[in-house]
Amino acid sequence: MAVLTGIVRQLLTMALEALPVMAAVLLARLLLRKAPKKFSMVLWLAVALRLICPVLPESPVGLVQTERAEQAVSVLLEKPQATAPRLPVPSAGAEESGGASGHSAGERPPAESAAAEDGGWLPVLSLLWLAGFAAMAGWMLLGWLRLRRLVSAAVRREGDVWECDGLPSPFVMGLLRPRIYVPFRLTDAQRTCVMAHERYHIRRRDPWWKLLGCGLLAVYWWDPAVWLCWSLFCRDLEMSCDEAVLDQLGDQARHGYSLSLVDFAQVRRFPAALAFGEHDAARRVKNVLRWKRATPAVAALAMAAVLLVMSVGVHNARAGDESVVTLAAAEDGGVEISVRASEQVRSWALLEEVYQDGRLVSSAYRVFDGFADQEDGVTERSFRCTLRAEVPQLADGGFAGELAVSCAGAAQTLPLPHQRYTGVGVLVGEDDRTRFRLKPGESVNVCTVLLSTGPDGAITFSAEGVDPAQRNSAAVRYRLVLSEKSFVELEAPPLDLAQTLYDLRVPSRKEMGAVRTLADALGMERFGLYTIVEYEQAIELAYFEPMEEWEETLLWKRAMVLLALISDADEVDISFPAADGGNRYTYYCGLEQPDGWAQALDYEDLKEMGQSPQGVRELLDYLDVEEAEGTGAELPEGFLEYSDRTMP
Amino acid sequence: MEHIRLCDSEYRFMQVVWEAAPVNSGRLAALCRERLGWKKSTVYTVLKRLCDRGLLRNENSIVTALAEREAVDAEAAEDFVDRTFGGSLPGFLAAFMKGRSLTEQEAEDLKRLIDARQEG
Repeated sequence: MAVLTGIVRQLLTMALEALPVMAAVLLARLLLRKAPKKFSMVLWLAVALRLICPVLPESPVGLVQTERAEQAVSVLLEKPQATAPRLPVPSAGAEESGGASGHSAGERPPAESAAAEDGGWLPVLSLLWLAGFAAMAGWMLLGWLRLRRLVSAAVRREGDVWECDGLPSPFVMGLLRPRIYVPFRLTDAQRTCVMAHERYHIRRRDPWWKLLGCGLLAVYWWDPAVWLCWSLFCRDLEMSCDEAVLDQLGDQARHGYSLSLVDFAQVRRFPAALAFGEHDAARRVKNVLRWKRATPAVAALAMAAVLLVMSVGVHNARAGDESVVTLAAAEDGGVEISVRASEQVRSWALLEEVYQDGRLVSSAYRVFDGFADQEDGVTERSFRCTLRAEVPQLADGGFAGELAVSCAGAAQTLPLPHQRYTGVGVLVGEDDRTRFRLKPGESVNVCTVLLSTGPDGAITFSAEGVDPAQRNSAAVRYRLVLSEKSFVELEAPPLDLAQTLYDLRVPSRKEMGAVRTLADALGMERFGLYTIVEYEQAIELAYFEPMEEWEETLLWKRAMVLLALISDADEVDISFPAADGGNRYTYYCGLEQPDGWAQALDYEDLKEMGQSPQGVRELLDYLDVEEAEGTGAELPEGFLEYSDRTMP
Repeated sequence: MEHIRLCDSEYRFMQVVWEAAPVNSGRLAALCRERLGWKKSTVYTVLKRLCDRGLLRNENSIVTALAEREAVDAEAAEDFVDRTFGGSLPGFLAAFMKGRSLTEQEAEDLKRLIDARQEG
């Protein structure tokens, strides 16, 4: 079943990919309608290639965007709640499971059947396709058998020419030793025309092309576009044959030839094979009457048009500066990354992002490599490596608070934000896709390790409109970055504290958990243990330890930021005990003073600054709250940057 | 004897028989292979059909002709097409794949067009 659904998915993709090529061929045929038909005939080769080959070369002139076809097929087939491809997480001691998608200690996430993973319609469609394919193949075979029975009593006339009763028109049958079957009692004039036509079919190996066409028709029986192409292809085939005959017999044959066409077209038709009088006799007669030898200029022009359409149709689109990245789940649990980098790319790196409780807490490059410069003559721009990220499983069934990462020979253990996890899951790629085109400077998610500390170890793999990395207790994401800079110049993008804080803004001070997350994102925890107390219109952060003088300033500034981001708080207070253990000091931060700053910055008041990332950014700038101060929250010991690593 | 009509291939077969009859059926098969390009199975199928129609007799592997050469005519078997293939293809598929055959009127129009071209 998996093979079958795979085939059907591939067929759907190829059929979609073929559509623009078919359109191009139809357009070219229209332009070439006055030119000899042999040119338009060659065009069908591009369509056939499209329908046969899953993989075709890429080029900037390519017409077909394979990713879009693949995506469209995914959208077409997948249920709305489709899940991203996942990997079983390999971890020491964990029981290995073939198709399971991430697992948690003790309890697995809801098992998903193979059918659900395949997408809703695909299995049904696959069976339908198989039935249709069998029916088409059977019908064609039956037609062939009937035809064979009909010609069994044919009488040999000479060589490969056989006379047969009951033929409406002459035709060629057979692949290796094709025979020409003609009706009895042809006039000599008719026979001359017919033989010239049929011999040309044989010389061009048309029975083979017809067989190929029939094969495609059987496979793509459900695609009206393929039927249309088949019908037009057959017409081109016959017309080009007619033209070849006129070319050979000369202009004086035109009259007799066209009359023969009309004669044979008046009898009822019959299936399969190559028939002299078939396919739109009226059109063919008019084509014959219109025909004249192509002048070299016309031939050259038509040739150029055909070459253009062929190269456009056969190639997949790829802009010159685009790199192609393909991700695949490796058998042992890693993610295999294949990259074909464009000329502009000078280096690639893996950017590691660590999320804690929904916010990005660190961002750093882990593995680097550059490409040799053009001058050096070494321009290997394809590479392949496997990224493995594993969370070791503990004896008690939980998972350790560290991530073992290895890629292309470099290995490192990354301490995770929490000490212990109850569930682990891995997402590969992004947006359910595993093939990407990147412009220089763009990046793509390679894999995201999602971690849970909840009692049931449940992992959120997809969330409406929200990055799953922000919906789990912790997450580590690896992004592949292709850059125009050399790898020594690469710098991790700065964390956008303003955006993070804005995302975490709290509508009500009564949501104590959310308030704490926001406060921690501001780094309040680094000043010591504290508890949050909620009053009427106010919030108090009560610390248990005394503060140094320089810390007081930092705390006070952050209290202002909190005030901007907690919608219904009119006051944020910070309290801590005095160093001698006597009185408690309290900073009362109200709106009066900060509203003044806000107005100086062209805002109505402080609250308005909290209503846009830009406002938060300006507030942070104004207060000189450094990003580094706010982002180092709870970084475990030993959380060191990896040194630059180059690929072997 | 009544006038008998045969399709062309049967008539060709009869010609072989008339020349050689009475003839051993194995010898007849060899003759047909040589003269008509027929397989043995085809020879026996047609032989059986013509025996059933009373034109030939096959006794103890000796084939003799019952019908006189003068009483038999060959004609093109047009309706044979319809009998073999008529209705065997779903109509719309056949139409889609093959276009349709010309009507009398269309054929006439085309012939006029061809003649006009000839004169012009």
